[in-house]
Amino acid sequence: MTAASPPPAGPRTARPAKRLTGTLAAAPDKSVSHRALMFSALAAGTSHITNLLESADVMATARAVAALGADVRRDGDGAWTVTGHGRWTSPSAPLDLGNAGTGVRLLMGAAARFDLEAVFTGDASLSARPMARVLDPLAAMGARSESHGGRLPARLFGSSQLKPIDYAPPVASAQVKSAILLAGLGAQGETIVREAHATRGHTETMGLLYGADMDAAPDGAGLTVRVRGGRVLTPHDLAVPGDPSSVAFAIAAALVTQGSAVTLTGVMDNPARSGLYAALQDMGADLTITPAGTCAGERLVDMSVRSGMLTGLEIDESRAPSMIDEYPILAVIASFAEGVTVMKGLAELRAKESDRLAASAAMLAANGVKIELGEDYLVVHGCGAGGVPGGGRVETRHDHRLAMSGLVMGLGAREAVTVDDVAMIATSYPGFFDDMARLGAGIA
Amino acid sequence: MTKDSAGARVLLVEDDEQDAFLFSKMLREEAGAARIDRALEGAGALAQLQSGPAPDCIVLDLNLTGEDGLWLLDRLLDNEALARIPVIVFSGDVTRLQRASSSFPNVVSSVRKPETMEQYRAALAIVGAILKAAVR
Repeated sequence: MTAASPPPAGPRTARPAKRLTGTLAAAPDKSVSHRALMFSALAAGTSHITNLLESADVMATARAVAALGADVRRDGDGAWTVTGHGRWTSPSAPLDLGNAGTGVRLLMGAAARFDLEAVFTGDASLSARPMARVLDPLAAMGARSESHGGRLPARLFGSSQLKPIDYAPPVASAQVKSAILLAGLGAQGETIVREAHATRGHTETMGLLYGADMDAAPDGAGLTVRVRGGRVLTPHDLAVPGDPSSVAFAIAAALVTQGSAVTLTGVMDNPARSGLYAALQDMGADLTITPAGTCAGERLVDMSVRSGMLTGLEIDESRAPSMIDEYPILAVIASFAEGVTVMKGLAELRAKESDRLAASAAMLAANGVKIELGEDYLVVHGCGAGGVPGGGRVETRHDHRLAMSGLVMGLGAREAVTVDDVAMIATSYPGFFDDMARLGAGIA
Repeated sequence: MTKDSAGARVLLVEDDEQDAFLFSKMLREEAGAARIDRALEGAGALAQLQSGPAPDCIVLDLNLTGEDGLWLLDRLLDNEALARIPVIVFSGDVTRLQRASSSFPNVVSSVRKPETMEQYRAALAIVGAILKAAVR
């Protein structure tokens, strides 16, 4: 089903770069890729997906939907055909989602509406992440589960008789919202999810493309999404847009490396994902964003960025949901800025692939950057014109975004930066090293 | 981690026995400190620093009985050699943390004082990163 050479693993060192230049097509979006496979597998009929992200995380989802009963075929680079049969069945073996938080949480929701029994497992990092936030509302709908204190492995007992719920998630998480909505596709009535802070809406957008009876309405800073169960999903052909979270690393590398000018094309422009870019513009980044059409129901843009000195910024917690994955790389960018950057409302970061908040702080501290770390905030004292000392070794704790952030830091710092293991980068951005090399970065 | 910061020496300034026990344990296990000297408050810490070999870093609780952490930070800056030692400050008081961070160039990290073991591990990873950089 997959064809990929072994990804780079072990330590890598990024050396200070002279200048980075060039144009890159944005890597395909991870969130949309997971959902495209799931919706295609839920539909009754054949869907064609192009520009699918062939990362370890997404491949784990592809294997899982095949094990749940869909026919999944790889036709070429990023080109996949998925035939769903309108219902999922019990897999013959545990579903190993590897490192994929999106994969496991959304699949648990999608599988909950069928009469099946499935065991979900993952790697050590995924097994340490909380699953009760999904399993509890699913239980309220009638899908029983057994887990290890709300952690993986988890055994889910789905039901075709799910009850609709009206649910306000206690944490702002698109994964939680999506899991409930996917379960709600099969519930007997209207399921409602009320978010205090709107999270990324890819599930709602894609649901409509596949014929789901779903609508979303803004509610102040929040969002209320309703899905009415019972409709059979129809197949759909789509191309996956570029990932705004992945392009953040090339954008950041260009910002912190003097004399750089880089363009990223085909980047998804979704308000729930573009918080970093708004913050960078507020910090004074020379970042030009131009419309570039639409794709899979999402707007696309091209982004051009030039290096330059940024100014520290206080980033309010209301922005956190729209840039939750981007804080490690923002912390790196803030290290190079003039003045202090304050990032608030980051409690959710402690429940990511690693304790991303503390790990980001340690990454900066290891490279001579002054930080303040609280329970839910991080303050970065930018090094400004003096430059980031660098020279440190970053412990990535199996976290892909920390690994890429540490390497970007090394490109702009006075001394090289080493990260202890780059294996996890393949979970979200397998083209990272090729893309960086094309821009002129020295990572070995 | 221990390998990279082998031989690292830390001065721990902490008056609470339970916190000092946990910090010492985690400094060894999570941050790779080889030798940990301890002082109970600011004046005792200053005396140790003036008489003994310089540590690779100082782990300082800001809230101490006697001369407190901010007092010690002031004294360290008065002495050219002592001012070069990186200091990591801990406190439950956010205002004090901010003051230490913004007023003292020798404070390299300010971390909210941990309460759970997970928080200790996360906080000590930062100390470990600084220790490694200090002994490099």
